[in-house]
Amino acid sequence: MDNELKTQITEILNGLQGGTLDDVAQAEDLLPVVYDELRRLARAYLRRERSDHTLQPTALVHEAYLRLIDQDRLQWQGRTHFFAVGAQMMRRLLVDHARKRGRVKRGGDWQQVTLGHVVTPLLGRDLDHDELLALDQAINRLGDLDARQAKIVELRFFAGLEVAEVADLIGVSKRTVEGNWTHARAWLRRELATGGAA
Amino acid sequence: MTRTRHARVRDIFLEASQRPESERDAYLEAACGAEPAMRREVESLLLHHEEPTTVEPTSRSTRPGRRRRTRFEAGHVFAGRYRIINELGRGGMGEVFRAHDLVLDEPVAIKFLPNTGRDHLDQLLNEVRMARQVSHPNVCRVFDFGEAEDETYLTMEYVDGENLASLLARIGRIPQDKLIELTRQLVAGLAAAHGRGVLHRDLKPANIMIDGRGRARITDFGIATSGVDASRAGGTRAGTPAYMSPEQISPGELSVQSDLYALGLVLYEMATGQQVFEAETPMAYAELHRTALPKPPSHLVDRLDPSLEAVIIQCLEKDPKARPASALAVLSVLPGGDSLQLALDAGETPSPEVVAAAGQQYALEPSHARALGALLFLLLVLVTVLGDRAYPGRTTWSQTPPEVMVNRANVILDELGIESEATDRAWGFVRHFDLPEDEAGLFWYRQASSTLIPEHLFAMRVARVDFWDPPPTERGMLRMLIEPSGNLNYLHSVPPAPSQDEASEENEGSEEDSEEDSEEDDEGEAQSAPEADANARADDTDPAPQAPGEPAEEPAEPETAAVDVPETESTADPASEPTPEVDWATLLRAAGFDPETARTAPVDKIPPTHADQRVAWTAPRDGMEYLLEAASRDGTVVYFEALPQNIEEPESFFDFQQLWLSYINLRRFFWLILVIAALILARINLRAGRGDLRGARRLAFLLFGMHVAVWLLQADHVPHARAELFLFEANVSRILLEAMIVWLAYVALEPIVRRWWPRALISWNRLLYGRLNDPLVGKGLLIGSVAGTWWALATQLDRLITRGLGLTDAGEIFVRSQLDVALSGRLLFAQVLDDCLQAGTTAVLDLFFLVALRVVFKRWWMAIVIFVLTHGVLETLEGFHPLVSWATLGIGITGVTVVLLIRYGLLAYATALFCYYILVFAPATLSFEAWYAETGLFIVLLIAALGAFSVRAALYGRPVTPTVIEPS
Repeated sequence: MDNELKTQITEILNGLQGGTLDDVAQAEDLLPVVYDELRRLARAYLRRERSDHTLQPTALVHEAYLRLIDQDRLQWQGRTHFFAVGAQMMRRLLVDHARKRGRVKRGGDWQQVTLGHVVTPLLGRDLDHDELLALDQAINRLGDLDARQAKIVELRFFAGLEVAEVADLIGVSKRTVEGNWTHARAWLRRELATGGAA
Repeated sequence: MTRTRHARVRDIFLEASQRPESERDAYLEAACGAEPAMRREVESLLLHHEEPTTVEPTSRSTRPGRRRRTRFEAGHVFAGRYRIINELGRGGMGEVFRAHDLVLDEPVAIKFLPNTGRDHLDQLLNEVRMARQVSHPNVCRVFDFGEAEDETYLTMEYVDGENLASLLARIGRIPQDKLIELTRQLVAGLAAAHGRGVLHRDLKPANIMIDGRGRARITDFGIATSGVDASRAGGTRAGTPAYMSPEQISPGELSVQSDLYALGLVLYEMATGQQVFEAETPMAYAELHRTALPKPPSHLVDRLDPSLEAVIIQCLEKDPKARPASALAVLSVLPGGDSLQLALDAGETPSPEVVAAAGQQYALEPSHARALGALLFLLLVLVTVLGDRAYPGRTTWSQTPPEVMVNRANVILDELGIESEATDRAWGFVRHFDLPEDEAGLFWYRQASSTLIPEHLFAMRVARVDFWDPPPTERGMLRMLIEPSGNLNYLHSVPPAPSQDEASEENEGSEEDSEEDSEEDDEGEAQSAPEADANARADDTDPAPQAPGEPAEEPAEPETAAVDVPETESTADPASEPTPEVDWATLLRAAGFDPETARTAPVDKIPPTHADQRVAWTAPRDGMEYLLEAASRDGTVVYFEALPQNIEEPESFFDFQQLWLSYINLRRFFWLILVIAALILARINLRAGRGDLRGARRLAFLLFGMHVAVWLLQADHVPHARAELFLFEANVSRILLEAMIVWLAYVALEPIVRRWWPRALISWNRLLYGRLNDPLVGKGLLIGSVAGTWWALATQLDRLITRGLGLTDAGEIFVRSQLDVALSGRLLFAQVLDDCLQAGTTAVLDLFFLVALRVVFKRWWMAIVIFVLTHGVLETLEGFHPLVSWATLGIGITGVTVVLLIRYGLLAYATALFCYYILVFAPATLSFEAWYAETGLFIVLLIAALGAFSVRAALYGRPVTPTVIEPS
């Protein structure tokens, strides 16, 4: 990662200082960079680690964070901002790949990297691609009902942010985040178990 | 469903989930009584709600609502061979079914991957490869790998039991006795995997199966990679968050210690029934694993084995380096079990800790320990009883303590009118130069008008004033040899500086030929002491001795004088005043000769100092003819020597002296090669992390400290700050070098011994690591002291037998050393320490030698034969007669050496050497009136005390406790 880009990203994040979650989501300059980096990391990760295909999105986001950010210069809130972006991009990346994987016939273009399994704390185990897509859709449905709750889920799932960090980022109390999180897990589990029929 | 409804359902759900189940119904009734749909909604959510404390994903299969459709129905015959019985669970890598192998008629477990593809294929193949490398009863066996019915599958040993996670969920925690047993099995399995270079990397209760008989098996090497791959891949993050080590979470080198961390977590959970850390998200786990300190298990449960607790806590150290060195190190601190054997079985080089902590089954039987103690006592009594007979030369001195001899020396000097005022004196015992068979040797005495400072600084020994060192080159120096009977044997005096009126002569030229040392002086050749008193010694280096105006006493030309002078004759210039008459009769009487029987003879010997008068006689004494040479200056005797005539050189089987010298040279050469080889080997070992740095450091420090102590005690210290500082520096540099070489050799060669013969190091390592009161240390010390005492006795028997057979016996060295040791308590203690040092160093080197032979010749018997041959020759060289000594010493001692080294280890051998060395120096005697009797008794009692201590340690020593592995 060249230092110029690093500085640039750090500056963008510092510029978001005090901004709302929406501002973060709109940080157009940032999103493609983070997305690309995550994808690059995921590919590299899976390529060099043939025997080990359990992917942990939160770990990837953290690694991207370490690689993209000049940590000496980033202000405190910039960190959570980054993870907000990272979570969003990670989710998108996983879904993109799961879709792509679905199109590739077995034994076909094997060089097409798949993201393998994904560990999420939701089920506490690996998700395969179908499950991942189902999860994505379930989060979307949840977003229709409560956008903030879906955002909390995204931040917790894909960036591994702590309850307190999430609360800070979206400007609600920790208790609210906890409640939403507990409920969302039950809700998503049910959705996944029933295929969204309920 | 609307947004407001969603929010309401959420609130009711959260509220309901807070309440105990018994109250929920009532609450739901009240909250949504009017809306049954909403209530159903909340209830369905509650069904999928889980308690935060059980969020950890280990026992997922027991949770309702998770189960997906199973891949196969029971009874389905898969791949035409395996009849599916039921689903066992979903592991980290796929679903596992129990099946029956219709071909082999055996139960098997089949694992399927939920998705297949190139990646998974590689992954599965990797799993097979990894797992098949490890063959151990505590590792789940993997049978085969195949593809059928669009599935990629793996068959493995079916374990009829349950996994540890569900076992713990069911029974809480594992009872104490079962805990140790399971721990041992797990560690053994893990050690076997590590021994093959395989890391598990996902060790957790769900991956441990316990069968119906309580045998544990580690399963699911699905994400394990071999150590090499892992390091190549950099920090990888495979694993289960709850059981991941700190270095597994953040990019760090994964090692055996990462698995040990996970093992610590598992053991903790087994012992307490609780997870070390509990968190909801991987991030939270990561944070806890990185920073949080685990609560000591004993805070949660009573009566936990302290060694187990200590090792659990050590496994959970954040820093991998602080964790146990290996799985076997964990095993070694558990009660019972032989980790060393396991290491050897696993083809592994055990770590020094494992060696030190090897099982107690090698300890001595109590009855054997007592018998050996009694045997030691008996041997010591025999050594004491036979002492006087074996060393008859010693008894010659029994009634003449050094004080008497010093007094006798002064009486002789008085009689001869030699000034005996001296600021420094020294004395001791020395061999008889002209009568090599003379057992008793001679007493040497020397004095000087300035401090005697030994010059032999850089020899590999402690600088001590002796007969030769410093060479008698300064004015006022005097040395003499006295026979046990009190007869003067040799005298060499450099007269003190002339009085004031003679000072002018003094300044004008050298008047003594100090370079002309006596023949015995060869060894004393050395440059003059750098701190030599300048004004007294100026003439020594004067390049122009032939100054004009030569004084009356012109130095005699020695060669011509020796040839021409027929009898008592003055060599002085005729012009000088007449030389005072010397009372030669007194001199002859002091030497035990009758002046009446002495006949003058041609002067032959060159006096070692300047003389103006020389004389020679032949005279009989005790039936032997002697040539007596003497010289005087200014009427005072400066030189006398009694030389026995017609001595027959003892016939030797072969030239011992020559052989001995070539051996010494060979050994020096060998040493040089050894040091160079050790440098290379040590470097290799250090890079590979193999050397026992701790042991080497301790050994080097120990040797250094003992060397310094020996020097402090044994060296002659001088009251000149500069000289003493110089002596100190010279000695410390020598000692430092020795300690460094030992360190180097230990780092270089000890791992080889550990690889080939680790049992030899068990008790040695324990002692080195400071465990004195230990059964195995006691055993080593006891067996060693018995063997060493036997050697000392064998040496005595060798002397008795050779003498009894009328064979030549040239052994005087023991007598002299024995009397020297008895000179002062200071020297005695120095000797004890020095022997300890020598024994340790020699034992280590001998062991290295033996194992090196084993490595070179590939067979123990060949190594032993060569060792006995070479070593036996060396021992024989120190004996008194080739054939007899070969039998008694060569085979006897070397044979025992091999047995000791191989059977009982390094410590026993070192102890044996120590006891042998010190007993051989012990003037042990039953005639208590002898002046040296106390010293002899002291040494014998010292060995007896060592024996008593070792019997006690062997019997009651505290068993091995994890002193090596202790929580900080």
